Amino acid sequence: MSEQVVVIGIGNRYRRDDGSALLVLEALAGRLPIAIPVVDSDGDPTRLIDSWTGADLAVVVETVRSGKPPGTVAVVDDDALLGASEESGRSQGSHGLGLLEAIALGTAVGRLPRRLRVVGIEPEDLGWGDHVTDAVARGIEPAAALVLDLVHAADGRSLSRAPAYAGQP
Amino acid sequence: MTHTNGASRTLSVASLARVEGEGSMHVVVRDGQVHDVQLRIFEPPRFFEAFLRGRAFGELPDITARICGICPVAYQMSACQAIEDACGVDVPAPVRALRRLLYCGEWIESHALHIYLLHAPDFLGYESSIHLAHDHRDIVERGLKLKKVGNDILNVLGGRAIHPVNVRVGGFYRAPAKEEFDTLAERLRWARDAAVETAQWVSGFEFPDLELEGDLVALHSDSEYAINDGRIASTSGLDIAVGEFPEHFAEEHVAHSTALHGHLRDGGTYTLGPISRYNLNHDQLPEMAKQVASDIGLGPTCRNPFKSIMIRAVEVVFACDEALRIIASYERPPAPSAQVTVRAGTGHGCTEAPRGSLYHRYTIDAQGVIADAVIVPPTSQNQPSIELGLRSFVQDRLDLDDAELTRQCEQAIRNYDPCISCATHFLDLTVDRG
Repeated sequence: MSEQVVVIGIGNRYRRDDGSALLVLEALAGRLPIAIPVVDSDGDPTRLIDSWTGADLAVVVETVRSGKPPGTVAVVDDDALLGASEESGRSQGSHGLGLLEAIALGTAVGRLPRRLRVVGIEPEDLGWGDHVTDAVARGIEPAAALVLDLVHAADGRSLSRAPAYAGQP
Repeated sequence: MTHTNGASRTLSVASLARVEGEGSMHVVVRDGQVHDVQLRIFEPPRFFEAFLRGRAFGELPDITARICGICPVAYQMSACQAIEDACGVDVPAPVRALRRLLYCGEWIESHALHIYLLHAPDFLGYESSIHLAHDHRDIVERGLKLKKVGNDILNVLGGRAIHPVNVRVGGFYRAPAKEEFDTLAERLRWARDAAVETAQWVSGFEFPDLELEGDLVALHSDSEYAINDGRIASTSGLDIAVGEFPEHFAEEHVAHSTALHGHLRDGGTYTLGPISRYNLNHDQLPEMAKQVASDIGLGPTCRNPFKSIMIRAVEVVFACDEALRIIASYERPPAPSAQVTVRAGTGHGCTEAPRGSLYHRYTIDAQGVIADAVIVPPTSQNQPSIELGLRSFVQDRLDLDDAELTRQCEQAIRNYDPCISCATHFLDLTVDRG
């Protein structure tokens, strides 16, 4: 039986590079198996949880600030993700409800996907505007290719060793 | 984390969120008296007002829906209403009812989010909804399920759960067939019961004493609990058409914030939101919602902003009940939208976003191109009232350390459900104790 996979992009297309994940979804149009739902999200944790409940694999594309050059595309390390999520649930560390809170809340109510992979895109400018920066624009296609790799890996290969770093523009 | 810098102490929070600097508060204390409270709330509509100029009015529903992920319907409805006003469009009753249904979905979703994930943890002493879920998973699951029913209305009628795509100036692109609402009705009946349980649950919380000062303002209609139709009313007797908004309300720049502050033109401070709607429109609530309010100890008036969580719960009961009523009497209208004939002019729109009245004004030319846009969101209108309330609130709590003062101020600010309340812990507090 094939796996239930969902692809989710989180962002705001009017906050410049924060819209990068939504551009990745556009770049994926027609390239994913038709049975795979593609969800455009503003980061609302409850809708995120609804989107991935019951999935074997959720691939989430999200703006991630890690200090790497703008446009860098990477699969967020699982340990770092869970650590940050626990931190956001434990401390007063986060002032925005988003992916980390969705993971923490999903954990608390037992509604996480069986496997979660987060493809991060390093932003340069999160100010108001409807265009991503050039550096981030160059990261869109590598991010889309990475999502496809992760989805196709779900067809049989183990995802336990997903690439931790997938290129830099 | 606390930084000491001379006479003032600054509390800062780490930055894990995508967007920084959503809210901060500065308190100045001199000789044991709160001298000033300045709230800085980040406000997106300023960008959108400029962004919309030069665009066709038909783009408004899609663009304004993206101003806020929690209240896209409110932005769409106020925008559509303003253009319809400018073009002299009369939206037929069945389409108005569908809009009201869509809005009920947004109220259910937004209020459930606020009650369960943001405000209840404050009252119960939890750091966040995640901590609440660890101890009371069943309660949080009920909140998530309740919120999803609101989401479901947006899905069926709006075409998708966020940024509804089925909304257009004049009405909808497509009106659903009656049977498309069948499963929704089942879920709404469950939601109405869950909303009653929610109201009973929150009524057991402890509510600090605080009295709202100034006017309470909301849309009012004699015939229904106003959401997207009505006149603008206040507890001091204001009763004006939506188009008269600019003559009675002003936005002003204040030095400490990029957001504009709302004031009555006579200088008074006013408050928007569920507490204002409830005080002005209690008589228009359906009997069932009135009964729930009474059962949980709410009289026809209530000025304690902390009890807004109870009023939100009553409004969820109302929204579920109202959605069921609309669905029960629904017949697919002959046309999903009114005909819109473009003409040059200025139009006004005002509808009740979950967190209060949202006013839009647009000027369009004869081709329907937007020449000017004014968006006055409830959060900026409430800002002076929040600051006023916080003065006395902080004054009574000056003996608290910064961490506890921050926590209590966040809870007090969340009474108003500001747009930034999507932030679990949003406040960078600076206390200048002199």
